[in-house]
Amino acid sequence: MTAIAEMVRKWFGKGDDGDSKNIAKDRLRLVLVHDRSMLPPETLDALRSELIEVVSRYFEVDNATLSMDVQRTRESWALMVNLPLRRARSAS
Amino acid sequence: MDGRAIVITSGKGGVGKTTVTANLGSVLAQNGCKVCMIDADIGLRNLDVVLGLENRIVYHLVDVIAGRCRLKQALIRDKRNENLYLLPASQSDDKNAVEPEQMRQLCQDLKKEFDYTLIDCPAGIEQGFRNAVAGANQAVIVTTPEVSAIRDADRIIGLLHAQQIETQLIINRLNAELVRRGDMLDQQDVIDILAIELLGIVPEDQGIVISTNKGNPAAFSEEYEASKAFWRIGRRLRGEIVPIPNFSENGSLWSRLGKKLSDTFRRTGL
Repeated sequence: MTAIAEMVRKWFGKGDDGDSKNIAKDRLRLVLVHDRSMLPPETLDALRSELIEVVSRYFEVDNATLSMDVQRTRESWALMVNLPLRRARSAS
Repeated sequence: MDGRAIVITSGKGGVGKTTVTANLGSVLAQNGCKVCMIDADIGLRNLDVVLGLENRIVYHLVDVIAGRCRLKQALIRDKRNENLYLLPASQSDDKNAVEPEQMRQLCQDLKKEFDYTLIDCPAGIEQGFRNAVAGANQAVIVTTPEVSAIRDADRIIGLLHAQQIETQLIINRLNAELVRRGDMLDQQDVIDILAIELLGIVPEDQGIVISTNKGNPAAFSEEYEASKAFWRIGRRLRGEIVPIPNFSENGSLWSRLGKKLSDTFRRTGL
């Protein structure tokens, strides 16, 4: 029985191997998200000032307190922004 | 008449840039185009040995740039095809012996004479890469279906897009058996990941090793699968629409079973 199963397995090339390409694909996807997210410092500075500009239209903020960080987990990459607010701007 | 300058690049070393350059040059020349191949890998020249022209070098790229000889004196005419020329790299200088602006001028001059100027780019993303791409109108990225090569290709594609150079991809050394088994990324996987136009696929082929041993590019013989792939790629480069064979097709259960059985019988001598 095991001999036959072994033969069938060999014939169809399924068994120990046969799925490593999906592992390669997943690993590549993750590593490329990282590679592509690496921005030069000028670009990061531009992002920072534009973020402050947009948020300032709605809130009074303290420019100096903004912290920005790119965080990596096994599943995802995220831009974490922490910008303490003073108060909302009036509707006018 | 102004020809096209195409840089063949990859980021990672050893994926087949030089082989692709030599074979595409050979195909285009046999199609009647006038072709000049530049070995831009200064200090580590190799295109000359792949082409079997290593004994005919008198002057090289750096001699031309430094004005020690005229461009025509440095060009080596191929012994198999009179449309095919090589501008070899220097083996003694380093990459800094040439500036991007000088390469741009050189490519301008060559484009007046040749339909195709193929630039064999060195590995890496430093000065040698910047020189090799400086004069190019378009780029052919070579990758193998492996994580390291694809990652580097992605980096190179980003750099070329920033310079507004049009890019196309050649997947080299695809092993159809591994793809069928699910142990190698197939063409669709690679295109999905890199998001780039596919120019062609070259299957893994012992013929490449044999022809490189002899210094006679595979594209000069017809018996190899890889040569057929290079001929198809040459026609696509010239604007023809040539279908790309699908190497990842599984076939039906019965045809696979039949093939496996006949393989087994052949192996066991039944």
